[in-house]
Amino acid sequence: MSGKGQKLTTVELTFTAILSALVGAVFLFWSNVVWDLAKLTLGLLFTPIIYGMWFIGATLPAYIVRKPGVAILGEFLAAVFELAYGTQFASTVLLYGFMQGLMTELVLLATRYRRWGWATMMAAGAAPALWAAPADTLLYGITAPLTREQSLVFWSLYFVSGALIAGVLVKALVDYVARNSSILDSFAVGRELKGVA
Amino acid sequence: MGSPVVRVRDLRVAYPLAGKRVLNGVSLEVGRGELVLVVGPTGSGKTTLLLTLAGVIPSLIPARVEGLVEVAGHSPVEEGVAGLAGTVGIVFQDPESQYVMPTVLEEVYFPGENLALPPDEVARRAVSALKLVGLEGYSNHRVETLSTGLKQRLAIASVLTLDPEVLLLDEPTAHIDMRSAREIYRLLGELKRSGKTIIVVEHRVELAEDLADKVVHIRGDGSCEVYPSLRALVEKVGAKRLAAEGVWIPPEYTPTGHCEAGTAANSASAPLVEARDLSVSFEGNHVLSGVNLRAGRGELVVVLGPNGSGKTTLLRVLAGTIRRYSGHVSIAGSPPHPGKVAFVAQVPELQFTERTVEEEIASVLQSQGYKGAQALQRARELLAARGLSGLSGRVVYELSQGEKRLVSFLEMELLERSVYLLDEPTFGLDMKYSAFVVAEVERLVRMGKTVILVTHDSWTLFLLNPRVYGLSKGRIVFEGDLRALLSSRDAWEELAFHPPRFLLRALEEGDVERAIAEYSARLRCLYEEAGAGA
Amino acid sequence: MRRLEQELRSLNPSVKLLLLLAGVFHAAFLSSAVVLLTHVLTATALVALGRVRVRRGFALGALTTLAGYTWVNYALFVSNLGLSPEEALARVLLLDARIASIILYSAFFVGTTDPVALATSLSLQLRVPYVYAFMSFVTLRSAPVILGDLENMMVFRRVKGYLSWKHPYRYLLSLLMPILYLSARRATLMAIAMESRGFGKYPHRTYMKPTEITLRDWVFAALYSAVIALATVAALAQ
Repeated sequence: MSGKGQKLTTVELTFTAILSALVGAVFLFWSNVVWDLAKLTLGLLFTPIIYGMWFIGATLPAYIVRKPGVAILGEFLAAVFELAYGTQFASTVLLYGFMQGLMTELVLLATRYRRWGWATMMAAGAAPALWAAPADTLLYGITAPLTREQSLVFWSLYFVSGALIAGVLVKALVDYVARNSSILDSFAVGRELKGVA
Repeated sequence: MGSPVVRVRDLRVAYPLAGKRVLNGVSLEVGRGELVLVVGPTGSGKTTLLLTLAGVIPSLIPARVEGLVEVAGHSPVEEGVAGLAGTVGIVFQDPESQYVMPTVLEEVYFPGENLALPPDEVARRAVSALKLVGLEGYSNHRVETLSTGLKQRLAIASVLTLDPEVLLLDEPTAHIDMRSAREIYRLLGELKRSGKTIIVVEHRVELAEDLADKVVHIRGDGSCEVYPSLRALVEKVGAKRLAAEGVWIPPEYTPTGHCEAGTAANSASAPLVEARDLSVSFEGNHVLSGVNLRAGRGELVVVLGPNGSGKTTLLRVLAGTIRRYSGHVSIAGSPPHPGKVAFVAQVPELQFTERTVEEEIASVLQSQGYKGAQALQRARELLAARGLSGLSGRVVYELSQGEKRLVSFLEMELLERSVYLLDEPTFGLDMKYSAFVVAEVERLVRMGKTVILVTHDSWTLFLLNPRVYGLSKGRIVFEGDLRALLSSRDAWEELAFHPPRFLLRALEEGDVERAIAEYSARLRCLYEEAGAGA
Repeated sequence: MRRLEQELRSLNPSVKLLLLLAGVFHAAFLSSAVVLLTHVLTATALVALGRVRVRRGFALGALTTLAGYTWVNYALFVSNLGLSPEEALARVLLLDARIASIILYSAFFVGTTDPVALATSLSLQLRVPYVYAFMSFVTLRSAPVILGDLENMMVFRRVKGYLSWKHPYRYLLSLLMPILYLSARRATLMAIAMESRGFGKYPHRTYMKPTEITLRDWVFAALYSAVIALATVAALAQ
């Protein structure tokens, strides 16, 4: 049983760190290619439907390791990767990483790190939007050319995208790998899905 | 002798989901300043023994441990790795996964910093450790730019800064070139003389033979036996048994055999693979410069060279995945293309796309035109035909390194291409599976395939009969057969090459030609019976 | 000038980061022309004085971002909100100035900060437990390895004819398992290597290259705050 108050082992730390390198690479691809493509094809209003990918730095390692602190660490380290590998928004990316990770962490804290069903994951995946949506609006003025009604649609897509990509998709993928191989056996998700204490 | 530094009594270790114990009643004692060589079958408890002595088991890797383990007065089982830091140092096979910091100096500062030593002490130990391993000129180099041999020396330096009493090394030479391997053992010799106690797991026993005070043989059933020397072990257990377990028995210990030498490379045919004046540069670095290479049908060509010489880039050009190059390259008369070659990866996991072995084979068959269930059925048949049905339903990532290699070869063969590119095929393998690779290569050559094999493994090299190209820093510095290679001593250093002891002696006696044939003959007899699954 | 460049490069990373973030928030909340112009000029000055070498790829990327941002916003201001071209242009330029200053501040930060110093500063100044802060090193050094692996994996899939456009999600899934496997294996080895080198043994450690808050940082903070204060006053006075 995973419970809160368990200290992270060094293996869990390094695994989160290495995973964050992969996640960071995905983030850069998402920022440089997919965001612009989405704006072109979907129009600004519906672009945030892809936004959830930027929250997986928090949910992916947290769902695998299931201990306190992983969500913040994972999302922050992915931001560090972006910083080092040429994001244009280096000054704010670390803050975003920390705050988005914190939002997921708070949701998981509320469930005492014991509930990992679809509802929890959707909430954990959507939570970072609580930072991202207001921050993008205030700092980057991203909704400047939208009307009030359009802005509401715009912001709600952050949450929907988060719930779907960082919540549902992450859980589905990790469950598949954990059930069908021994790759994740040394982490909480592997142990719990296979019923080993 | 005084009280032993390492004491193990009736050690029994079992992993959580495994049926039987991996170590079953191991007992041994090691005195101060002794070097102990540990040998045994792959997948046996050798690594487990080291990990238990280091405290990794059970603190970082869960397992059930029973029995007494005492290292330099500490209890690894109770204190864990962290508790033993400073007393025990451990070095693994993979130099790539053992460093943390960006530069060499920061890496050797790291241990001292962690143990909160005063800054001048940290600096002093760092500098002396670098000097000991011969890396003092590399302080400000970025670790990622070092060759694997140097990275391994850095790992040892980093461990030495804490001045441990006991050094544990798990196949420290498995991933590095032969020259660096010898230097590491020279270093271990110095450390032993300075009073350190060393326990090393090694397949290439001739490297450790002269230094070893004891040889511990961990058997497949988890029990162990201690011998005073390698010769004693070979006499008691037999060269064939040991070869079947994966140990590289030096030919001196094997009976003279009457086995045939390898197939001669057919160099008369027109070249199927040709590179003329090939040059590749990335971001200003000249990775390959003016490379000329030819390989005909049914010919075996080996490209020898150290880490960073451009070997992998060369293979990538031949595979058609690097298209920006100058010069002329052709495969069967036209430019290279991924669909023309069978490319076997150095790290088999990078080739795998499916979950189980049969699914993996089936997916390759699907690209050959088989459909769904039909492909799976055919995959099962193929595996059964090779005697590998036992692997059929297993998840690829759970196989042993050697088994993964088998599967990686099999799936590439199914593509039925005429050119094979093999990138370090014996990487990380013991003798048994290296012998399998040799047998496979010869079979491919007999079938008329063109095989281009990149390696830095001297031992396997002399079991083959190839034409050799020596690649160093992007240039071909040698071309010829094995005999010519042994005669070109001046090329050895830049190729990071060092021949096995048996051949080195023959070279001094001037009897090279016969020695090469005999080396091959003696070891063949051994491994043909040892045989590896295929 | 050289001296100034050195001073800027020796600033404490945490101090730099916090001040720049304050600047970004300031620019966001007081979006008047005066304030934004001040920020753009200050940021440009910092980049110039710090002699930050801007890579061509970065500059190109930044310009495309700005161009795209400008175009989309202008088009939407006119068509979506029905603003007149002049008003739309004015608002677009203000937004551009905001983004430009963020990008320039970012370039300054990245160009004058060493990752080792940043991680050390997180531990020493921001009191993040060093076992977490030092994971940045693990992430950063794993990056080329993972990217190399991904590249290799794609090479072998091409050789095998494992087509990507037939089932794109299957292709991505086929990349996921090996990466997770290799990452788990490396993570274990690195953890063992780190712990055997004393990592995490004590909560405190020695720093051979510690980052400190010096007079230099106070002076920079004072100067920067002064600039911000002046801009605020000017904006409010309008």
